Amino acid sequence: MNRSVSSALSRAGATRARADTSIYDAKILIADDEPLCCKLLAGILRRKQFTNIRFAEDGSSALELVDSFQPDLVLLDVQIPDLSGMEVCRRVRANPALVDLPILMQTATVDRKEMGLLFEAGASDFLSKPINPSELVSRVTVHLERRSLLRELRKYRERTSTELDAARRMQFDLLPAYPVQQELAAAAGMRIGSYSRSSSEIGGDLWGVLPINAASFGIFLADFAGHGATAALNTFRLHALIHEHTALHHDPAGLLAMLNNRLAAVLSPGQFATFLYVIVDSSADRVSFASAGAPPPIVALGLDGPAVLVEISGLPLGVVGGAQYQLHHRPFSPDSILLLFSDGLSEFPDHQGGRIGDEGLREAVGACPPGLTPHQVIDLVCEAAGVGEDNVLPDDTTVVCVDRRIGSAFPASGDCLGSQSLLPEVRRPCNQV
Amino acid sequence: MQSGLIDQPLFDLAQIALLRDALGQEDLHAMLSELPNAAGQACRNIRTALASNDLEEARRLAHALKGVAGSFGAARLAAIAREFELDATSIASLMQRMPALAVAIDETLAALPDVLRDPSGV
Repeated sequence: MNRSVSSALSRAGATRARADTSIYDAKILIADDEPLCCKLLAGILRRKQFTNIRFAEDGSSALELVDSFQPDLVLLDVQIPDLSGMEVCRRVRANPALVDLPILMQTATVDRKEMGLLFEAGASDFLSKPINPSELVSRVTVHLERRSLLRELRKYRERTSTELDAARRMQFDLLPAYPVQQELAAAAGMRIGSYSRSSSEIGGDLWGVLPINAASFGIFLADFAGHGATAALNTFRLHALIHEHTALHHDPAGLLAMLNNRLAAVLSPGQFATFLYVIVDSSADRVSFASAGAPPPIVALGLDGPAVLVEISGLPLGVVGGAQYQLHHRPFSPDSILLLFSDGLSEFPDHQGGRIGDEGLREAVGACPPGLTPHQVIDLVCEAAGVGEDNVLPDDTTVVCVDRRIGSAFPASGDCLGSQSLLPEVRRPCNQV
Repeated sequence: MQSGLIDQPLFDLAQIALLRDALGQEDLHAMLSELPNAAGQACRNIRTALASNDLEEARRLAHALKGVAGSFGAARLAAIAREFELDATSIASLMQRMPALAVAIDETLAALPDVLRDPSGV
């Protein structure tokens, strides 16, 4: 190599190093029993501003310094006395906290098998002997930059995870508290059960109960397009709008028209929500619906009546302002069941890629024996759809079941109530009410 | 045993030039000035190891000498140390190689001042 080439390599190394100045604070351990080699390596690195350098003259002291000095990078001679360089490498790698510590093995070998053994022992890279200054600086720089980037990435992930966890808890707080939903339902002579899981930390599904009078209450179920942060933020918008307009809680079509107009004004193109609002009225023995493109609710009338899909048309919320929505009524006599669900349930792909669909869910509800609690009904339809606790959900999934089969006693407390403070448990179907 | 590497240049001036670029003339001078002591000490340690019938230690010392000599551009010394390392099968064979090693060290040390004086390198 001539001088001009080597100078160019040197400049290239310096240019790379400037990409991340934090690497100059990195702690570097040089493990070599030859003092003059240590001086040479350190001298080259110091000229490139790597100044935080310590030395080990044998394998044992190298291991001790890895523990006490906690280097960001190790330059390790293969033929170091005491423990060999490869043994030092293996022992360092045995510590799970050090699996990504850059270890550069100094070796004069060109034997491919020996090189392979170095990497098998856990070497991150090698440094050929005789020492080439540009190679030394470039490899050290690359590995320190990589380590620095990994650290930044970990910090970012930790921060994001913390923030998402806070967001998840805030979103959970939007859902109706278990005692509130049970109190409303019980006052109307009904029971209610729910299942809600996001496909990621936060999701785009939202449901809630709205008090109307002693004999009736409203239930809404919204599903914003997509999932993740954007969809989740929109659920906060929607929640605020719903609770801002209490005068419309008794008017499903009016509520949807208002929500549509307000969302159409603020949502970005491509953002919209399906929305179903149902008023359950035990005094009138009926349910009143309005839907904005939501999956059809399922009603099983009485103990012996067939389960039917209540198909209602309506534009999703936020697509275009001025849309109107139709009010529909269906009988809801004692012993009937009402099931609301987001398409995360009906479109959940099973092991074969099949989906249960709306019709499959209707059959599953129709097959539910009398006497089941709402949560037991939800468990059965989830099982029929292939949704289990261990499944990764591709979409946010919400199921709400209301029944008037209140022949069995409604307990004041139970597993579900007891688990209300445990966020993950509440998101799963409860087996007892 | 006479080494077959007598025609090997004493110094790899390209390597010296790389070091000069990386370290600067002053630091290179300071480090190269330590090479005689380091090589002499390595030679004495090898003799001691051979006298103790410690073949592995002699081989390891020769390996270290090869590394430091090569990195500082002492090409002939590095090559002879390498042969010494590869031939570490018996004490007797290494004893025969000691004179060549000593000669290489002496010749390297003798030529060092010229290398240190000439900053033009190659």
